[in-house]
Amino acid sequence: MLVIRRRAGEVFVIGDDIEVEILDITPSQVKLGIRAPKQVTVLRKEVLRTQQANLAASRPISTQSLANMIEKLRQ
Amino acid sequence: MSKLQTDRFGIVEYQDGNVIEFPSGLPGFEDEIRFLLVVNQTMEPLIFLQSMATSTLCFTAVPVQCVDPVYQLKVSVGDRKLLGWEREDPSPSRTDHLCLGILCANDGKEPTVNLLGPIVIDQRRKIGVQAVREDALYSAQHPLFPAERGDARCL
Repeated sequence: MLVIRRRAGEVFVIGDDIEVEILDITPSQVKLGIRAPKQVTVLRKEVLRTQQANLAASRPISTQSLANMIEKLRQ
Repeated sequence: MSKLQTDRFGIVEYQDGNVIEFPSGLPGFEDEIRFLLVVNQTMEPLIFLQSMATSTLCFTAVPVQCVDPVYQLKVSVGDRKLLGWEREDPSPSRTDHLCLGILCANDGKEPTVNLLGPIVIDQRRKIGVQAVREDALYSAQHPLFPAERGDARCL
């Protein structure tokens, strides 16, 4: 993993057209500003994980699995 | 009563008050902004989120308390605005909101539930969001059932 040290107000670039600016730093959080072309998706990793979980969960669950889960949950 | 054709339940009769608006959809399903909350005694404690627009799309969910009785809900500022909760998260004793985890149960794998991005529904205002947490305290694939304990015993 590449590690770079930056201060508030400083910028780094990824490839030709993505810029990340360090806007603000507090003891518990860093605020970043990202300039990227529209077609580049920028997501929090938790949102990406939830997106993947939603896609997996959108496949129908068989009636048998549903019945098994209900029975086990009621115990 | 209105009627909705669904793959899972056939034709469902519902009252318009049971339709929940998700102003920003769900991650991966941004265009799905209206879901019907399907609750049925024979299916309890499972709750279903049936898309109003797509008959094949129906999420299976369970109240997070069934999985983790001490689940700590944390809703981001942006999601609170969508819900109309301008200040704090509601206390766990308040009953005018539902907090559900979407279930995933595919091909013989152990079922999991998404506790990282719970579905939060304000039942009074009929508005829902998938409130993806900003911390990593909970998993998007939390086992629905705790692992069976092995047979090993201390002799």
